[in-house]
Amino acid sequence: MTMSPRIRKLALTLHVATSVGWLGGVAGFFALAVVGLTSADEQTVRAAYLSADLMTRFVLVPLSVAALTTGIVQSLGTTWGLFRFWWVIVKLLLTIVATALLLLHTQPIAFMARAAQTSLAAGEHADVRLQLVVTAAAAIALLLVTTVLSVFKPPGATRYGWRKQREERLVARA
Amino acid sequence: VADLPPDADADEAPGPPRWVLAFGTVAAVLVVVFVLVHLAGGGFRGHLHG
Repeated sequence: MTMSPRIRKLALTLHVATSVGWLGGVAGFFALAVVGLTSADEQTVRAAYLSADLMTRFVLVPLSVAALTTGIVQSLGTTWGLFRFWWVIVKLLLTIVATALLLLHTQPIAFMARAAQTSLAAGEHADVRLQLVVTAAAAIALLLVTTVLSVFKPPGATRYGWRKQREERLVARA
Repeated sequence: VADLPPDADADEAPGPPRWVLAFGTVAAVLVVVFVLVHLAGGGFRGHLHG
């Protein structure tokens, strides 16, 4: 089903806004995670993890789900399709991986926020602190790659996409 | 930014382009490194139920 130009632009706007918002949100989360790992001031560290937890629950998770959903809608509603071009498939897989990474890490983020509610000594839970920094950096890298794929749209149709295009061309000629 | 896909001009169904193969190779290497690091015990060990 192909969307009308106006609906397609609306869906594209939603997809770009949620995807870029997600990337910006993760960059903000990364800053908080770095502060949580490196700051010597306990109040600053506690504030960082409490903020990171709120940001995760109310900004990152909704934006990730929205970006994935609007991306799928955008693919299915245009002639790009979901499985016709390699860049769409790779982008879909990376978005699923980034969403899964985020959902898996809501647990350690909530754990650090619970710890931050009382006290958080220097070096306490150092492995979890480092985990959050590394994961946020990986998520930024993943989301930058998906952004590059969206803009450059590297060429390459799948076997399925090639077949569908030929079928559509034959129908158009008939 | 091209909003519409190009037409399929080739007479034969194409294989995966080179960039997809390179991408897949890098992804496979990263997965293997991740698994090896965790199997070796060097990964992150959460103590999230404390």
